[in-house]
Amino acid sequence: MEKLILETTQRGVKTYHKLENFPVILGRGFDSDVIISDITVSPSHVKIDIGENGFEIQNLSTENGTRINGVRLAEEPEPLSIPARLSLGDFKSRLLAPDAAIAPTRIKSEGNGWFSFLSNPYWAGFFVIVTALAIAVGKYISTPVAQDSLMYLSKILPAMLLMLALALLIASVSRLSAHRWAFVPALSIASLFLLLPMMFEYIGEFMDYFLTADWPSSIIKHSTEFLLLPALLLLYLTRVHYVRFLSALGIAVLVTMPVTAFFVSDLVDQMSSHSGFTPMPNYNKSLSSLDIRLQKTMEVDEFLKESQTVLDEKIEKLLKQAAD
Amino acid sequence: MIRYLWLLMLCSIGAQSALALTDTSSIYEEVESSVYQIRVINNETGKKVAIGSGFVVQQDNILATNYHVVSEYVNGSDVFRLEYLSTDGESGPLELLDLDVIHDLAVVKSAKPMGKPLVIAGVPDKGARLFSLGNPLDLGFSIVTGTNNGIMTQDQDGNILFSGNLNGGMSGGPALDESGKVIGINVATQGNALGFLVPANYLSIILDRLAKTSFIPVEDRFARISEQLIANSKRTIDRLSGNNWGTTQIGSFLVPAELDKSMRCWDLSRVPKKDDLFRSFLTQCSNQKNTYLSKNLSLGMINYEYVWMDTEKLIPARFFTRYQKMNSSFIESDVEKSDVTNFACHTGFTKIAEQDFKTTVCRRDYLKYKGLSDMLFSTVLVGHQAQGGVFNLDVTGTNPSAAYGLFQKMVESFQWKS
Repeated sequence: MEKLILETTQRGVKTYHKLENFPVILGRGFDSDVIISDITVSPSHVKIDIGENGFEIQNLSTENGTRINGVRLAEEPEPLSIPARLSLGDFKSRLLAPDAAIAPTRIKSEGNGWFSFLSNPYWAGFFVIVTALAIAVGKYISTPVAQDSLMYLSKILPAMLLMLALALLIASVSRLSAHRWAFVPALSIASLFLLLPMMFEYIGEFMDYFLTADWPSSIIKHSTEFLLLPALLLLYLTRVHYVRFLSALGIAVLVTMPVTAFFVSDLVDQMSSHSGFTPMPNYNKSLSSLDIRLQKTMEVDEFLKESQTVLDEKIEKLLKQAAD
Repeated sequence: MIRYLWLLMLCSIGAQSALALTDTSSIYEEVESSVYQIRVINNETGKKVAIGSGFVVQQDNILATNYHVVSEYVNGSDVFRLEYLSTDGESGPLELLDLDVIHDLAVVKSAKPMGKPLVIAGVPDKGARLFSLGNPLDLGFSIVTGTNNGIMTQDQDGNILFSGNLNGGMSGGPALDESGKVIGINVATQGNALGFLVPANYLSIILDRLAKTSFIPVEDRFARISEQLIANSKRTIDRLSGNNWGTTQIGSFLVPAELDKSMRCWDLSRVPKKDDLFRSFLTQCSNQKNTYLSKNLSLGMINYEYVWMDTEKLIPARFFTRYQKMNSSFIESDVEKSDVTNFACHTGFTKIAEQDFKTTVCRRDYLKYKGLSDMLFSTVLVGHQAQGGVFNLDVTGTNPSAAYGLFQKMVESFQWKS
């Protein structure tokens, strides 16, 4: 006895029906063998039967019709080759052989123990504490006046609240879409979302002084703006929800599009204001108590000679630009 | 200087009336026909945008006035034209021959004879009576009596101090001695009855130069102006470099004190508070001398400032976030895109007084004035955990190499006193 598997996808959930007793009627009517609730499907929509040369399929719907692998079926029964994509009105399904290959089982990353830094609650706690400390230290360093320690607490608390809210939001979305709260990874993601920009900013400042240039911090700043959110989302989707990399990438890019669009317009604004005239001198003003740098210390006259040559060239270019 | 003095040009009329006394009617009658109102007229509307005074000198068709009276015309000769207006209401066109922006003088020419040329003479003794003529506040020609208080030192432009009431609109008018000879040109006023005159010998220099070329107008006015500015800047910097600067202490540094008597230095340190975790000091010096070029452009300023910061209570990272905020230098001016290029900067690390400094040189060039630049130098102490020092020098309207020389000489005299 030959069998067929009917795979239907509704609201992202796949359902499989074994078709054994032919002929089989698919339709919305309660007398159908497989009842499909989609409103574009006719009461008796399609019939699948076994003929002399194997499976046959016949369209019964006069309303929205049936397509097999994208080709519209006529009224007459037609031979059916497996596997096949089957569309009843707007409703999509697949017909598979019972021995069709299935996707391999995904191994949960909790199995990796300590190194699964998203799902391990210790990691989440660590991230939260480090973020709180980083905020407090950042505030401490940037205010060179004596301040009450309660003040630092008052700076940390709103950030912690924001982090919790963010984690809750992520967890809720996860609950709605995958029916799992996954709060621990959500908390890790939320705290990384606050922590990483601070770390990158510090690295950018360090690199600015190290290279005596402004581009490292601006590159790091812009990459953080554009990449951090999609990267965290990608991480979350692949590591927590086991979404395949390419689909996860697609979702991450799509979801962060509005944020990206905002930063793009911001970047364009900045670029246009940078390319215009400014009476302000633009030079590398970074200072660092560590004083770690690539450039060696020169004698004054040597440096001034070098500047004269460099500036002569630069000014010549600027004058040419102005003349155009 | 512009900041502290009112140029005697009238751009709009709104000041209260002030009538001068004409107690020496004979002098007035004698020279009245040689004094004119000089006006800059908008070609489109035919209305004046600036007025001043002028007088016939050397030849019957040559008039002298202030540069700042005709500056609108110089900067927009396609939009404006020059005209004279006589005491009896007659007017006609004028042609600009030559100018001296440093001493604020301009020489113009009329197509027809304008009256008897006034004769130039030397400055009389201090205390001598002087008579200044002009058209104050566009109220009609007047004569003002005052006293010669002598030529100020070179540091103050070398102008004559005139104790008498000069008013807007008298710019470019002659100041005469008792024999009716021109000894100066009205240029500016300050406070009550404090006026300034440009010594007439600077006018003689221009007139002699013009006489050699039979009074042909200068072809490239902007080139002439930048020549004058560069020469003046070099002269000033040479003078400063030759002075004995003395030393002053700021933090652990001994640095040059006042480059010149004309430098005005101020302490602008923040007032310390009881619970401050660091100390910071700031002193600023300026030559307060700007050569007027147009309403939004005055050049020739030399400013320098010293900043010192130290702490006993802050950790280095905390101290440096504050210190970094002090590391920002710029030149205050109203320049626009049509005036200058953007700044081009070069930053490196230099050894000054055996200490490491992060040093930046920035330069921008003027578009109309060839070879003229603004220079900005900034050097910042690095490599100390709890001490910071900044030295900024800016020189506007200069030739770069002169400014480089001054900066180098200044930093080479720094000393570290630990």
